[in-house]
Amino acid sequence: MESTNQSSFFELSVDHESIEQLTETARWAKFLAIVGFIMCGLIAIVSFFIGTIFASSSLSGISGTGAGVASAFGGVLITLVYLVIAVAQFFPCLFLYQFAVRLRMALRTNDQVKLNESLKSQKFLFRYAGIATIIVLCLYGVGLLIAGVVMVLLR
Amino acid sequence: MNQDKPELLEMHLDYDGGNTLQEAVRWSKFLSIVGICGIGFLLLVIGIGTPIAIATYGQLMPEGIAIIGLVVVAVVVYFLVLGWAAIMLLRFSRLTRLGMEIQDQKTFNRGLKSLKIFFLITCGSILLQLAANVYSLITQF
Repeated sequence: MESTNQSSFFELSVDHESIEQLTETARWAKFLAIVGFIMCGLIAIVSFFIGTIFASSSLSGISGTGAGVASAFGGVLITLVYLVIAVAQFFPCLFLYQFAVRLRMALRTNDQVKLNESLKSQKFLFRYAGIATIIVLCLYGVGLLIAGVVMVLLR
Repeated sequence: MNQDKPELLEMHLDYDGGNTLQEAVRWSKFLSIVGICGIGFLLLVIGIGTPIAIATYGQLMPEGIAIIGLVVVAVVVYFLVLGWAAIMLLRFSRLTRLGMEIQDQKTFNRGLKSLKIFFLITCGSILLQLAANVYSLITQF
């Protein structure tokens, strides 16, 4: 059974048509990954500005050390949230970049190991995106549940 | 020239690659289904919300109806393009899986072609988003 499963994959090869498709896929994937890296960097930079702007705009009309601490805390919180978003976005871009670069190298040098490594990066990319999607859907579900409970209680 | 062709065929889908690709295909199917459902839901919301928005704001600002209409059309077209990308991802997962199951090179290649189109559409939509962001930044300043 195992040997049949092992040999069954060997009939599929990377033929001329596959190479054409994969070469173009690698090109677009690399471009997408680089744009993603740039956006991560921009989000990280903007996060510091937004935090500062929020803290200073909150302080402008309010007096008292308590309000000042709260505003500073709010600013730091916003910065942290944006930084977390930037970090969360970084990893899929990294996997996509690795997939593109390894695939390109594999196609150029006819390297089976590199091809398998690029497929692994692609797997990690889709797995990461899938798990992130599940987490976001769960958060939406919890949010809707809380909103529903609050609405029922307010009635 | 013919001597070059055998070099292209040295790479194949081995056991390691096949297992890895099977998992990638599974996750991509999940992502594409969630994407299609999400986009369908958003289009439904737009379909229901647009007449209400026009009825509410149309009386206050008659000239605003054209702007609302344009924005809605642009958003619907954008979501349809994203929906097309999700369908390509679903095709990639189905055709690649089928190609591996029945050991058909053509089906497998069609799956790879769908993946290429998915990345192409995703790049295009991101470039559009960037252009829109840059335009809004320029108009603000």
